Amino acid sequence: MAPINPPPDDKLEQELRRGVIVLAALSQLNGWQYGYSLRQSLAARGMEIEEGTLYPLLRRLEAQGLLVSEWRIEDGPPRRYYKLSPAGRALYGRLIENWNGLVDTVAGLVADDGTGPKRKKDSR
Amino acid sequence: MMTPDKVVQAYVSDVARRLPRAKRDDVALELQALLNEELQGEADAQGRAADEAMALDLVRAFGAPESVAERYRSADFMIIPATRTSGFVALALGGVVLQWLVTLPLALLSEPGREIVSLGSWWLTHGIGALWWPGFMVMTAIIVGWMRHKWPPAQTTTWRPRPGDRDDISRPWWAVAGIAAAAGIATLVGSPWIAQNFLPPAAAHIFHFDPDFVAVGGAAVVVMWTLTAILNTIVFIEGRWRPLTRDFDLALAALWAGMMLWLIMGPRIFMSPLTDEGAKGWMGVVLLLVLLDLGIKIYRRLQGPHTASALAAISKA
Repeated sequence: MAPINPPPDDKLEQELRRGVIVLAALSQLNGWQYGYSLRQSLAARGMEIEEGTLYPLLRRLEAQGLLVSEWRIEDGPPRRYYKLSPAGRALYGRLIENWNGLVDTVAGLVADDGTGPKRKKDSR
Repeated sequence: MMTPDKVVQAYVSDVARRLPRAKRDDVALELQALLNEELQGEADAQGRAADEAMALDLVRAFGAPESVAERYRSADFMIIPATRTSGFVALALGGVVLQWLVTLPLALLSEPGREIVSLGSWWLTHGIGALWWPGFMVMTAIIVGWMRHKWPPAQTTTWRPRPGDRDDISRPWWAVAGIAAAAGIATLVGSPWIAQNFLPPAAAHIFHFDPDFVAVGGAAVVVMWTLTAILNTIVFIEGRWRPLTRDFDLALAALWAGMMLWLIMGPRIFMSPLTDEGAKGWMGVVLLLVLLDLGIKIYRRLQGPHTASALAAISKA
C-alpha cells in the first residue's frame, strides 16, 4: 500500500509519471483492450501503473469522448473493452508531437546543465 | 473469516454506493471483474490460492473507497473556486457577526434587568435568524456555479492592467463627495431652522434637537466631522492614500461605528419622539454601512499592504 504522505522526492517522481500516464495508456489502445490486459501490457513494457489509477482513468477518458467501450464475453467473465475514438486518435497524435518536443527540449537542458548525472555519480 | 470473493464484493459495493446512480452498476460490474482478475494474477504469481489477507491487501492498495469513487467521477461543477474560498468564508462569517453586533446590544438594552430573558429571545429570533446570510450566499454560489458549468463564460476577455492602484484617488470625485457631505451636514445642523422657516407652524418643532444631546452627543459628532474633514482634506491634497492616512481612516471608521452605536442606544436626539425614533432608525442603517466599510477596510488591511505603499515603506526603511 502506498504511504499516506510519501516523501517529497517520491511525490515529485509521482508527479512526473502522472504527466505521461494518459499518453502511455492511449499508446496501447489502438486495438481493443480491457483494463487488466492493458495494465499487463504496459507493465510488460516497463510502464507500471497502479490499478487504482489506471481503471478509473479509462472511465474518465471515455467520458471525455477519447475512448469508446463495449462489454464483451469471450473466454472468461464479462469484460469492458476500450479503444481509441476518432477524437482520442487525434489527441494521441498531438500528444506524441508534444512529447517528442518536450523530450528534445529537456534532454537539451539536462545535457547543457551537465550536473545531473555527475551529481548522481558523486553521491554513489 | 471472509472469502476473497466476498472481500472484493464488499469493497466494490463500498465504492459503488459513492458513485452517481446512473453509472453505479456498470462501474461496479467492471471493477469487480478487474479486481478478481488482479487477485487471480497475484495468486498465480505467489503460487497459492487467494485468501482473505491477499484480497484485503489488494483492495487496500487499490485505495480507500471514497478516493477511488472520486477518481471515477468526472468533475462536478465548482461551487466556490479555491481562490475565492477565504473571501467567501470571511464574507459569510462577517455578515453574521455584523448582524449580531447590531441586534444583540439592542436586545440586551431593550429590557433592563431582564438580560437573560432578552438574550434567550434574541437568540431564537435575530441570533439564529442571522444565519440566513451564509445560507443565502451558499444558494447563490450554487446557482452561479451551476450556470457557469452549464454555460461556461467565453474566454474572450483578456486581462488588462487597472488604470491606477487602489491608493490613488480621483480629485474631482473627491471634491464632489466633499461638497455633498458638507451640504448634508449643513442641512442636518440647520434642520431646526429649516423646519422653523419652511414647514407649517404645526410641524415647526419636529426637528428641534434635545439640548442635552447638543451639549454632549452633538459636540462629539462635531469633533468626528472635523477629524474626518481634516483626514479627507489631507488625502485630497496628497492625491492618494498613504499607510499613515489609511491607519487614521481605519481608526476613524471604528470611532464612527462606536459613536453611532452610543448615540442610537443613548438618550433622545430630537425633542419629538417620532423624529427621534425615525432618526435613530436611519442611523442604524448608516451604522450598518459604516460597519460594512470597516469590515472591508480591515479585510483589505489583512490582505497585506498595496505594492506601491509597501515599496514606499521599504524605500523609507
